[in-house]
Amino acid sequence: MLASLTVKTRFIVSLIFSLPLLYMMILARYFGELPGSDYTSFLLSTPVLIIGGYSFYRGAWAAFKKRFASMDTLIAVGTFTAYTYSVYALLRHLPVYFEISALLIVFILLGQVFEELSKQRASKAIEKLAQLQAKEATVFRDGKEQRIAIEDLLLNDVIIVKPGDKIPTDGVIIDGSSTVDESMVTGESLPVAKTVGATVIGATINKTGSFSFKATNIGSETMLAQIIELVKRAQNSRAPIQRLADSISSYFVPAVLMLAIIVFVAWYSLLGVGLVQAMLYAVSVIVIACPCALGLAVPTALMVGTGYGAKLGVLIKSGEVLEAARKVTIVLFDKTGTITEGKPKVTDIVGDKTRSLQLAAALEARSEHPLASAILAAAAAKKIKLPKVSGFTAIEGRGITGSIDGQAVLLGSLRYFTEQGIDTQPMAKRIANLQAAGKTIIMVGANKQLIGVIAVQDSPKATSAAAIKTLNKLGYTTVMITGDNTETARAIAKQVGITEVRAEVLPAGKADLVMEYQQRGSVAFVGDGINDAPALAQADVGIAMGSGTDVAIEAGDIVLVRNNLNDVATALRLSKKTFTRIQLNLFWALAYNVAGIPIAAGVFSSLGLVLNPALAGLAMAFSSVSVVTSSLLLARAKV
Amino acid sequence: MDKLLVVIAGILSITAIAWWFFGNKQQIAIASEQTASEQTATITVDGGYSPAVLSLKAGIPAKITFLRKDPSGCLEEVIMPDFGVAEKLPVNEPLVVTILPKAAGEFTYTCGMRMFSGKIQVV
Repeated sequence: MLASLTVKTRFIVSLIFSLPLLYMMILARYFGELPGSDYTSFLLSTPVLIIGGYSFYRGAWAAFKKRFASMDTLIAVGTFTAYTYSVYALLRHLPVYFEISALLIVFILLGQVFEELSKQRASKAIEKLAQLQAKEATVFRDGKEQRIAIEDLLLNDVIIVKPGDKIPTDGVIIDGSSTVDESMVTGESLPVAKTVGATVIGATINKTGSFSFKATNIGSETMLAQIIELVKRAQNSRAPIQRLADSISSYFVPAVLMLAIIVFVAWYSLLGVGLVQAMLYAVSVIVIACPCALGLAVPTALMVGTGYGAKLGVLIKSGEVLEAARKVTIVLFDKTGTITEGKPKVTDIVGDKTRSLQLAAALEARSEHPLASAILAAAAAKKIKLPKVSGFTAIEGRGITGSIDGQAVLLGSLRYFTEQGIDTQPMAKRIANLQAAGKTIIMVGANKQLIGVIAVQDSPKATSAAAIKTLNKLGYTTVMITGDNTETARAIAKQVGITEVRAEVLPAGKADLVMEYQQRGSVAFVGDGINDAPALAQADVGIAMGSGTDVAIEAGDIVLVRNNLNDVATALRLSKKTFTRIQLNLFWALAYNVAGIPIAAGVFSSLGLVLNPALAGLAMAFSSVSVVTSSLLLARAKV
Repeated sequence: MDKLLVVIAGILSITAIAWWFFGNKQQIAIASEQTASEQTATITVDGGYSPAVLSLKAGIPAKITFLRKDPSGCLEEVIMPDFGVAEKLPVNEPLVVTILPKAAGEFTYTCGMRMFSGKIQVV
């Protein structure tokens, strides 16, 4: 029965029995002793030790049998020593110290109650995320609208969303349009306009319009479920400098017990104080040395830091990332989709316009190149009919070839055309002008002849310039990496304020380039979670950008849920702040013990600075609370 | 005389503490019970984790039952950072944790405050 009592219950019961003891300790000298005096102390403190102390004694004994010593060991040894001595003293009619053992337990339980409350607050992030989930959904089944529980949703269900509704799961809009408040999941404060074909995220809130959508992810596959899982993993991951705390804690408790014996022997045998005073010093040492604060220093800061990140749309995947992020000096950016919108548009066509676009579109229809959609959209806008392609081949990073109407058609970069020995001179000037304007050029050739040039431009995101400025100001070296030619790359880089550009990098070369920069310092790579996986993995910190349901949660060490480059600085700053907080917590937890032990041991007794065991217990309890509070303050930090 | 006795008793106690807590602790790996599709094991939580070392086979989902007998708050939570597990263990009620040990290696798990630890050996 004792085992099932909660910390709070044990605390309340212990407190009730201890209040008269507290009276006897402090007020009795002014208002008179309670009847029965020492025997009353014995009768009041015994239930405190049994009810309040049960779990400490039980835990300490179980650990002892396994040759382990824990915080329970210290509390058990401390209180038991004071109690058994007092029983002996009671029988011999000497002064007793029952109140010390009882109050010690009360104070430690009080500390645990506070600690539990603050830990609950620290772990709120997950709970809040889970509460976002909708409970019910309106689906269109068997020809009619039905209200069903979220658990009964099936993949491809058609879900109807009315104004003000919470969107029940992830999906794609098939009818209607609206604006959606996605702030709770992505951190994006402005409502996002959505129409047919757009993805919606479960747990976000529909504003004014109505629409129906097809469920593409349900249950544990939804973005919210994945974020919750990721944050949960991160909060409990191995944290940086954890090893220090780990290795200390396994030696700490036995070392404290040995130290307490030394203190006792030194005071009693060498300095000649009485048995009782020597014992009180030893017990104080045992109590004040409880390494609770040390054990809480790392996990609570990690919990608050990663939870706070999730709220801002910055998912930090593990504690180790924090340590790596702190050392980063160079930030490499992928260009397309990261610095730029990733939605290129055809802006100019030089040469035979219709024929160039027709051939290019026909080939690109088979390609997965990011620029393909721009060319196809341009062709579709001009209602150009696409001819059949045979013998399609893609040469990674260079271009594509195929046969159209018996002609060998090729599409690709200027470099590729030069390598193929195709004369580009007739259009050289126009090409140079387009490149200088920051446009990507795609050469179109047929039968080894240049027939046209298509210029495509992908403009920088509205937030890119400000984000890069912030990073530069914070002292990071910013570098842009792209497969584009140097001129185009430079034009974009200039627009956003990046001075160092590495252009014409083949997709496979990005990871090598990360390695090259790692010679100069610690590197963060910011890129698209899907295409840049090798570079993200190679970098010291891989930061994957995503938007909406396109977030590749698996990629990178940090995932930015909003497609906003400003979050790179937020992520790096938050990582640094969390790491600094961990260091600070560890420092205080250790400093507390380093300072507290000599005081408890009576080293400064000649200066009148002493701690009785009950006060040592109080101080110990509040050191834990202060560490947790310090971690909680992290959520108020400006990042 | 009694002062000398206290010194001797002190030295003996310190030696005993050092021997008991820092001395060589035997840790024998206990293997899980395996079928083709899953492996199961029970870890008793009482003053630490028994068995202290659990041996699992890579690639097979493992159902580990934690049975916490120790009411001490120290052992309330179990955290397996390598497997993304963080669970509160009820006293005297079994709690099953399912993990998939992917690659061979030695993985440490701990209590919430990282005071107690156990090992999982994946072979």
